[in-house]
Amino acid sequence: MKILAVDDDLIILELLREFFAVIGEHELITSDSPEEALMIASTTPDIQCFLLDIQMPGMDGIELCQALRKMPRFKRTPVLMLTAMSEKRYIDNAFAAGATDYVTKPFELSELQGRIQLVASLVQERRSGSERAAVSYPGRNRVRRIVPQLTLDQPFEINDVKGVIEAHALENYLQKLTRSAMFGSTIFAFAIRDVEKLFHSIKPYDFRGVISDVAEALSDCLVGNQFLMAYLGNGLFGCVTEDGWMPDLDDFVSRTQIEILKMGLYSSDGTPLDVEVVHGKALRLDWRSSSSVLTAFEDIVDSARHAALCASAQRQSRWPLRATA
Amino acid sequence: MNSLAHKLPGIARIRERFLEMHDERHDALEDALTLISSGEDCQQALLTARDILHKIAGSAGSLGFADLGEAAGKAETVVQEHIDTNFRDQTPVTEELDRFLELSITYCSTTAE
Repeated sequence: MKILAVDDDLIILELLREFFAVIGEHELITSDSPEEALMIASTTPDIQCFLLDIQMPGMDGIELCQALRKMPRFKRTPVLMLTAMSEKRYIDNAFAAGATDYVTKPFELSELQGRIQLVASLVQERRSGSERAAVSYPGRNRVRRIVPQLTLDQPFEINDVKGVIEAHALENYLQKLTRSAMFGSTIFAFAIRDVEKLFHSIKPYDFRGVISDVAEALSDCLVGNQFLMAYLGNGLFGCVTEDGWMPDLDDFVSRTQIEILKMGLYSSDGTPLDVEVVHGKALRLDWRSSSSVLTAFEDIVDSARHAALCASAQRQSRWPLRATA
Repeated sequence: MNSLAHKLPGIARIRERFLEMHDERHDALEDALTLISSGEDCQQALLTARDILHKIAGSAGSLGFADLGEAAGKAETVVQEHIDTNFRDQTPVTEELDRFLELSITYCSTTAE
């Protein structure tokens, strides 16, 4: 993996060079200024991961992360914040800006190694996905890349919707909060009723559009509050709100449904789509360890999945002949 | 310092470099403290002190100087709070910087182990 590390502390850059030289496997490029880093990023091919400090003179690491995310080829490139800024507002802002993970300085090298391994697996996973999706033609030198086939359980990126981040970044965020004993966040989840029928009744392109529209409706109803949200696959959305605040979920889902109706969702052949969102349970995070917080999150997501099944059963019992997605 | 850090062949050189830089950082903090104590136009001195403390807090612990890093982190928080609140009484900052510098000097050139 080719990694670009940006930090104005030359000691940290030296330590990182030493660290990566010993663990091997990866190629490290360093820069002590965000402005220079942007130039390196735009002119160096195949950068697969960024390590960014936050507090730097001029542009800070969060602004740098936002600038990188605006460059199409770095929209999904893992960005690991490596910073001494341990306050929650920096963690929240970094993830909201598109950070994938957050390591607090002074870091244990073994922790950094673990985090880098996770990033490397993610990069490898994505690379295998595109390799599988590459089609070569006999007698030709070119390999055409095609969009990998979408599966229902696959979380995918949703661009330009406020507060929406990638699923693994949301998990990393939850783990970071609990590792740093920052409690008070509330987690909850939403599901789309009869998502399987919906998925099989429309084209993948339309399905992506529906998921993006639902994410936008959810996000619009959360605006004004601090939150992060991710699409988890299977028509499920996970959400975290801060400072003990959480919406009245019944009311929130009603408002989201109104937003969805206002949008008027159609498939590309003009068929109107019946999309209903339901909510599961909510949980306020407390003393849980970083491993159990993910189990708690899974339970919350399962409760939304269950709510979707109940909503589907209710609908079928009400309108047995019209039970379509 | 964790076991992985011990395995880095260049770690001694980086620690040495850190200590060399620390002499300069310590002197700059002494200067900042003098300006802050004078109470006149000390905003820049506060920012300088915060940035130096931030760097020490970020790297000292990874190099095996945990007490120095923790003390720098604590002092940085006090300085940052002072900057954020624009509080007129400089005493909490000067006392914290004083405390930090007492530890910091033990890491300067000949006094460092």
